[in-house]
Amino acid sequence: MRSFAVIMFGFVLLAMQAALGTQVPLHPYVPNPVLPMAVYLGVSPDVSPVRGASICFALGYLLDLGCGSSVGLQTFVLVAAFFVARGAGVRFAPQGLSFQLVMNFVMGIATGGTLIALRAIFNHAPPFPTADAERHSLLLLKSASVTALIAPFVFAGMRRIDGWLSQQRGDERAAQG
Amino acid sequence: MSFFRRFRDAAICVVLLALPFFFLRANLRDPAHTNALDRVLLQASAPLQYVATQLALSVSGVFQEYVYLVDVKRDNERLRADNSRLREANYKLSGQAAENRRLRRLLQLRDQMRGSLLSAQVIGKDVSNFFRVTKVRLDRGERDRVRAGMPVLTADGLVGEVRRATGRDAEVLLTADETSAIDVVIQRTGARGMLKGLGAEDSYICRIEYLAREDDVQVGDLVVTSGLGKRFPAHILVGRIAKVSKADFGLYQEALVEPAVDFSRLDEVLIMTASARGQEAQDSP
Repeated sequence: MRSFAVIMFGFVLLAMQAALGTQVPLHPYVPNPVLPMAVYLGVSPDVSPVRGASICFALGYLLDLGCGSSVGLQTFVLVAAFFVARGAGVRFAPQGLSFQLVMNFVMGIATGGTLIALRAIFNHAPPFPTADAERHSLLLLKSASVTALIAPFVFAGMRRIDGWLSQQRGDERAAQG
Repeated sequence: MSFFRRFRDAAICVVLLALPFFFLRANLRDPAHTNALDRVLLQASAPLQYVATQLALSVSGVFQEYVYLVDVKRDNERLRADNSRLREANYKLSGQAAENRRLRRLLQLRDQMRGSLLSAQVIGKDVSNFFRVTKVRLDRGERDRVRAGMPVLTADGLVGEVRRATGRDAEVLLTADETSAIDVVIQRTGARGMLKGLGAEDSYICRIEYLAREDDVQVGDLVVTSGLGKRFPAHILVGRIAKVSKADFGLYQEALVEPAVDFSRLDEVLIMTASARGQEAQDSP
């Protein structure tokens, strides 16, 4: 139930971004709305690695379909981001606003860099963008900044889903017992 | 947690990480350089990919339709506002075009009529209980050398004559007024008579008296001024015969005349000054 709710939340975020994109030109400030979700799942101790990775797999797959990238690109990066966040989350347990901003900014840059690297490795048509590295770096920074800025809202949404599901579970237990 | 379970979780995590990696590798690789593993992956993933793509397309289609509807609503509001604005502009332009036509016709009339004509604007109208105009006031007066008795006309025909003129304005005696009397002829036959207003509250109808009984007068005949008496120049259209009534006895027949001018819609008129009247009178037969 929780996994489904989270995936639906991710879908809604992607749909909202797509709708916003039709009204406002977002480029180059294009956030990755599901990256904070992967980070949240990574730093949440009650989410098992298998479930977290599965949810991130589904979210990444949705993102691949949504943004028209090669299947597996965003999926791989998001699952990897989950594991990285899981590793980092153990060390930076507090989940305050600054943590969310910094963590998502760093993860945004890391995932963006990974995407560029993966494209360069597997697709030989556009060579590794060393020529306009500055432009790519700026794009990465802008996208990561916007992703970091929306992260607190995504975290709040995820907490709300958690709270809502916990309450439901409590009600069910109370009804049974 | 048992060893088996830990091993299983680790294996699932590895698979979840490796699967997209290999998918990506197979997808992005040059088709000429794919190996057996890539081909197996692509073949195995094709149906799944197709279903997922169709699902995504249908969902995004619904969503895009919704977004499209939102746009349609906004576009509708914008178009409605544009429509109102354009209709208002069109209304103004239509009014200006009508005014332009009226003024053009007045100018043509001015060119046709020799002598000086003074243009005037209607600044006031008195109406009857049936919303018929009974009195018209113009923005020209004695200051503009307007005097009582001067003919007032439009491109449609005769309006009447100046009843009285004050410093800045003048009052017009309409042909439909019961005190108005104008010598007229039937244009088709030349039959003469005296056009008198009936002063009816609900119509502008006038009557021609003293039409000889034997004169040929038919409904639809045009009635013009005769020019006799030098009050009005000759050949100015007054109206059209609406009804002819011939009694069983007597020397005369009577005809009702519908004025050529719609007094309800008077905006601009021409006042014929004395010199023009003189010239017209001289030219008249």
